[in-house]
Amino acid sequence: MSRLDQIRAMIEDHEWDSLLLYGHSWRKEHFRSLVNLNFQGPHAVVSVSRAGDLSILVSDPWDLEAASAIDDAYVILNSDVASGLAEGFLNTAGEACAVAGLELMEARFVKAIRESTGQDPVSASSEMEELRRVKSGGEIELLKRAALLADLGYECFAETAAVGMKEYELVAEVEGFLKANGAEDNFMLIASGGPEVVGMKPPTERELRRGDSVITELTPQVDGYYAQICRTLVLGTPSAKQRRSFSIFAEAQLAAQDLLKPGVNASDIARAQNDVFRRYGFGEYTGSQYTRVRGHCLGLYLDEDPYILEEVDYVMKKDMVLIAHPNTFLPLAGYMVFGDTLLVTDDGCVSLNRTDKKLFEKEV
Amino acid sequence: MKRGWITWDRLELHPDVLRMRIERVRQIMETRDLPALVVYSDIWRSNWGRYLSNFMPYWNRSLLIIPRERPPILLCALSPRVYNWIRTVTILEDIRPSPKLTDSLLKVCEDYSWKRLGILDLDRLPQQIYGPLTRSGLSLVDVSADQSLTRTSDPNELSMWRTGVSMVRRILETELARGPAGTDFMLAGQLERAFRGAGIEDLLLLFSDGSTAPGPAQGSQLGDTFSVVVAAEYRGCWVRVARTQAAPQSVKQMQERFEEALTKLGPEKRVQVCVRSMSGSYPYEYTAVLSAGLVFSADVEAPIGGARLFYGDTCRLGKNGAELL
Repeated sequence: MSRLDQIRAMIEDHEWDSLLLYGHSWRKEHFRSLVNLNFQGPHAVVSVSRAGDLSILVSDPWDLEAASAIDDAYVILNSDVASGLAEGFLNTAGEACAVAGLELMEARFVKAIRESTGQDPVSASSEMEELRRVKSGGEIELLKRAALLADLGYECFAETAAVGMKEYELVAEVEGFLKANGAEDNFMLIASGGPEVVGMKPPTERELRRGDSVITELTPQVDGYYAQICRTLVLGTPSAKQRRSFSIFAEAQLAAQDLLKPGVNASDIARAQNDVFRRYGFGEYTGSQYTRVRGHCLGLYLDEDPYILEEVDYVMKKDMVLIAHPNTFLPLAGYMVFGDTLLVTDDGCVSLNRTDKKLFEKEV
Repeated sequence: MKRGWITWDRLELHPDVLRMRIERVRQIMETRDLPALVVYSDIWRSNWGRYLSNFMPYWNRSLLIIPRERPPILLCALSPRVYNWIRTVTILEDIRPSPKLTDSLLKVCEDYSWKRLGILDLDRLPQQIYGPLTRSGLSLVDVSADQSLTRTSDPNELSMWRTGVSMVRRILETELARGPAGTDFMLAGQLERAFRGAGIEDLLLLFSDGSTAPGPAQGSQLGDTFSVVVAAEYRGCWVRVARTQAAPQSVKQMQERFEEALTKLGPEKRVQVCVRSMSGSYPYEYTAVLSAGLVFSADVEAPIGGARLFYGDTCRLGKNGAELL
């Protein structure tokens, strides 16, 4: 079933008259799930009527040209999105309108919808998120390409990192590599140092030193879809503590990967990882004081629900794509990261990354 | 996406400048009898929060609360593990973990017995925050950013804009002079490396091979004639520059068209120029209205030698019309 047919069925099931898929510059996932246009203006909306008619509202003239190339869609430009919604886009009083991305919309846009239709729009965000979780064959191909680029990006990262280099200079090289190789965007965090490192952040001017753990989360985007890789590199020979720490992360990630298959609950995937830390006496470092999540789904947004946490109740399905990463702080060697992008198959999962699953080390 | 070098050079932006901006906001609050003003920021809409505190969420969202009689408070959806880093790049000391921003804001209001609250650009809040706030019983007062914050006439801010746009022009000129780039992907990589290496915080690149309006790189062969648009964030100030790579005569023609267009640009006069505001809440936003003091990008398009070429820069609408920053 095509995405448009899925959406039309959703509209029918909920007895809506139309569904709007809204995106802004940061969060384009709902919009791009139907119209995979990487718009540049701050906002874009696509409306699907119950009959399946498509209308697209863009807010930048250069987006108008790109959107106009989309077949069978009525396209309008209005930099004042509230006016655009009210004039010529939503013109049916009494229409039951649902919005995926309603929570992200500026309040004045929601007001414009309310005034046009005469009633409050309802949120369709969770319905669209669920629909997007199970990937189509085409989406999986794009995620595989993104994962391959993540692998190549990490190779560049490991080759480029050197003692004396500033964190932001390393990031510049990796960003340059990823863009040159077709990444539309990339989300990347980094940190370097030892036990004092408690988390990842944007790059600083800190110079890399011998013995540092240099950790990164690389998330290149290909044609809208993000895949991720997390690895740790030691500049020089890893210390016994760095090796011991990494072995715990590797065991935890493997526990998640071994468990993941259709029917398994997200909470159990998190617990499998956390139990490894508990077994080695580091259970306290699986809490929110030291870490965020034990993984998350991937797709048109890089941090999609459901999160892999012990308190999250969600049963995994075939063709979902997620990363399991037990990233956290341990007093042994500081914050460490390790994770692969995983595709849920009929009876298990496969990693879409091909990078060696090891603690990387580099002679200095 | 933010992944460049976010830093705070206290010689470039003295802490007193930020304190004075906060004080100016407090004067507005006093005039309007507001106990506090709330400023929303996210990874893409961080201009006002950055202007007032130098904080920009490199990921996720935040609410900056400026009480009239207390130090500013940052409600932050980021982990407390990065708060020490946040303190190195902002004037903020009171940073509170807030996975649920609205709940945290309502708690602060309750703790300080605030019944009335100023919100910067109230109707531009995300609905997820706006909805619960309007149902909370608080009296919400809209404070217009454009009318209240004097960002475009702030000499420190203008200086940063000028530094940023000079950096972008210089790097672009150097990189384009390296010769034919091959594909737009390859040029994007080259530019990304150069801009991020120079300390640009965020970067957006658009390309036109001469047949379309500028758009994201798609792997197209660029040939000898093409245009590049760079939108870059330098220390919280977004700038945009568009340049044409073509025969020298064509480049000169584009420059002349742009300069001529600028002379005709004013509040009452419009020509065939694509104008985007660079001084609003978004990094850039297409606008049909030019107001005094506006910092904006202007792009001209011309068909030369059978190709669509683009040329543009970052400007400000001053007393004597549009001027290059």
